[in-house]
Amino acid sequence: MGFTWFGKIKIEDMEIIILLIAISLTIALLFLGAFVWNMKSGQYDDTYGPSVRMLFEDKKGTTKKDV
Amino acid sequence: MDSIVVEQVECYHCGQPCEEEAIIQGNKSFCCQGCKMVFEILDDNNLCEYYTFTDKPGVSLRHVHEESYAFLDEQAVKKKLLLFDSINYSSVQFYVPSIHCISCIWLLENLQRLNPGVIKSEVNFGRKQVTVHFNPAIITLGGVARLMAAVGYAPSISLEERTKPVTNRGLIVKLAIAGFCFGNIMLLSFPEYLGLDGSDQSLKLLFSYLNLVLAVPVAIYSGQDYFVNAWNSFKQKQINIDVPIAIGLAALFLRSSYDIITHTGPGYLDSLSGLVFFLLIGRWFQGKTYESLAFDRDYKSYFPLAVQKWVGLDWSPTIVYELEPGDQIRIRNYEIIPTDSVLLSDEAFIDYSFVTGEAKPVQVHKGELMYAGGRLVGSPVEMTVQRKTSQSHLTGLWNREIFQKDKESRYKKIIDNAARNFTWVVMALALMTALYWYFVSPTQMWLVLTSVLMVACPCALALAAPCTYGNMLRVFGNHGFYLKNADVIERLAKIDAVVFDKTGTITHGAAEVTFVGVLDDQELGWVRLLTASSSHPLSKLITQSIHTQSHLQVSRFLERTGKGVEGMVSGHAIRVGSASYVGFNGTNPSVLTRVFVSINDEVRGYFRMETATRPRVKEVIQSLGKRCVALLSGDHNSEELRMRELFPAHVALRFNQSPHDKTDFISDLQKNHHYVMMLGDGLNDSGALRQSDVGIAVTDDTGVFTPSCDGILRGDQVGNLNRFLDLSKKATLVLKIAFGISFFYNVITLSIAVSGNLSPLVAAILMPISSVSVVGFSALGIQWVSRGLEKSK
Repeated sequence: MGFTWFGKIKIEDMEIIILLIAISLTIALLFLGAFVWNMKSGQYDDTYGPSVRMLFEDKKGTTKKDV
Repeated sequence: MDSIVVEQVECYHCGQPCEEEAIIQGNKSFCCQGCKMVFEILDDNNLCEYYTFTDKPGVSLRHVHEESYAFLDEQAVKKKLLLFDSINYSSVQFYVPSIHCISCIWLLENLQRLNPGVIKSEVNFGRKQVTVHFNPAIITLGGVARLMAAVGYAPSISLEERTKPVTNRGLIVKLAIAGFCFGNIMLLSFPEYLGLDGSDQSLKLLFSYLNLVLAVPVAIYSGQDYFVNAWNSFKQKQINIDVPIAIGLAALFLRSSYDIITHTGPGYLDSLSGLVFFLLIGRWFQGKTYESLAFDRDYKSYFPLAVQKWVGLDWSPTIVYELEPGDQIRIRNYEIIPTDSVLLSDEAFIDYSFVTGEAKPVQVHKGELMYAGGRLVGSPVEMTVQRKTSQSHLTGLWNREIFQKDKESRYKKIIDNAARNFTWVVMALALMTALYWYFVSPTQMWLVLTSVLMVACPCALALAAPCTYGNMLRVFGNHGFYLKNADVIERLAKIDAVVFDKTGTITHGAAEVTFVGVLDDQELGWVRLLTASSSHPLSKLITQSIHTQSHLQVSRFLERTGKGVEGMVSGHAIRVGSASYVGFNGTNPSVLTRVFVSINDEVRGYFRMETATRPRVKEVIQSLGKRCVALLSGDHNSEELRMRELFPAHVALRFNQSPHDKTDFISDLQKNHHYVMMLGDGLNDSGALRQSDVGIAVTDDTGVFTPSCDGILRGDQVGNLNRFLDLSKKATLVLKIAFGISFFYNVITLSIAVSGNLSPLVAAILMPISSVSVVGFSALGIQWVSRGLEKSK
């Protein structure tokens, strides 16, 4: 069996599996690369700080306007 | 003990109870001027949001002494500290031990609102570090430090400890890659195990080759440490646990590659990557360290960085390590004497508590020698340097041999012992199997031999130690006992001799003042009036201990140096001071510090100063029994009687011990084949802590200086010491059982391998099961043995 794509390219079952594996591996590798990149740039060095920092209101701009 | 405080007022800034009179401003009360000042600074700058994130977030400033940080503006110091420097942009990283909550982060990241010179600041909470970017044209480096100190976050500065970030980033990347490859290889191996029909041969081949490609980074990158370590131990003619692991990994990889390339089988790559993944998890688990605690500090981080030195016409800050004999220096109140020097001023009070354990300040007269490490109490004094900093009486300790060698290298670990025996057995077995198959069926020999080496890989064995000790380390950490690394637990289990330091370990640093005699509240108030006017350290202690206040005036106040104070309060002549000064004729039974009081020439009694012992110390000493060997104190023997009450007769009480004496005492015990644990807190214990098999520093505040040690024990947890010792023994037992379990699995897999029946599927199932069951057992085992410890805050 198999199916045709746009009526031109005929793809067999097995080739689909190979294609899927190639795509999934590539995507997984991209994520792995992203993780390693984050790691090396120090994103995981302080895991507590950012979680509270996002709750602080940023008043730096407003105080200037008020004055 | 004596009076019941009706209403406990807590400081608005730091939350500490206001012991003396509270300073009231508006509807807020403060425990001290320092706290009030910080509040005012924040109030003036609209930074009171600080108090909204956490209730009473401040740091008590009562015991903090001011530092000028002027030395930070010296060119040489600046160069060493600044991460980046230009005309209008500089950045610096400070270690701030007092960071503890959300408010701290918020305030320290809003420093630019306090001073326009600060451009930006970032806090790393885990490491308690602050990186400040500032404009040196507006604010100097010293100014930044002063600014932080002014709001209660004094940076701790050391030129030595420019710690490079000791993260395990590399390990985590390796772990991530191993995990990624493990997952994919397992997925791609499934069709093989579930059985593909013959028509899908090419798909099978493709999966095998994909697996091989994925396994290459696992073997070469993630597993490289095992090969490197095995090679290193080979060169040192020793066998550690990494040797059989490396052999197993190599056998797995080579055999699988051979199988795949020759199309004879799918290989064991899922086992290989799973093994590396589990091993790395174990390493990561064990590698947890307390980043914000420092275990390797020496005297340099305790001593000041710079002092005022007389240069030509003026005082200028000079780095202490550049002081030469003959230099004239000036020390201010609460500064540390950096090196042995002779006093030039008339008199000085030196607090040697950190060096000798003696809590009372010592009086020094002109021309007398003062030793390095003492803290000046009182007005500034001048002195002449006698020796270089590194050669003073105290710092000479660090030139001894024990400080040159790494402590870990002195010990052989249980795991290495087990690994050595294990390796020899496996090698012998492999050889015998190879011989057997050589005669029975030579073609099979290599296959069986590699199978034996593969399953012999002691993954579960290697995981047992990190898991058991890693879990124990966490349990200890939850109970205020922070160990440098997991190996310390193994040494703790062997301890059969415990040696205590006195001051700071058995007793608190702070003195407890009790009055013996007859004085009513009103009269106590009068005494307080007198002592409050005196700057003598003993007067200050008495002032703090009296809670009744008197609003009368003192007339004819007189302070006689070395004797006491006197004055008139509402017609009564009051004298506070030594026995002879107030006219006390009785005998003085002990050498305890006493301050006598007389009213209208009638002796009414005395104040007794003694240091309080830590809670539950007596219990601990009793349950330690024969294991408690000695008390070593740098103090004089005034408290011998009291200590004798605590310690049973077989314990040696030694007083007047110099740091060198303490070290020698420990090494003598070790020569008699004792495993010694030393508990201490001061600089004078540094040598003994280092010499002992396990050196534990006791501290009430993990942020302050602790000498180089194997572990830090919070002061309120000293009462659990015997429990900790027992637990480490039990942890070692758990570890040995875990070893047994992993050997059991090894026997099963080896017997399958020897008979030549090891299929990739069996390997892929048995290997993870053995690892998981060992990890599970050790986690549960530790949980079970430590169930009795009540959780501390």
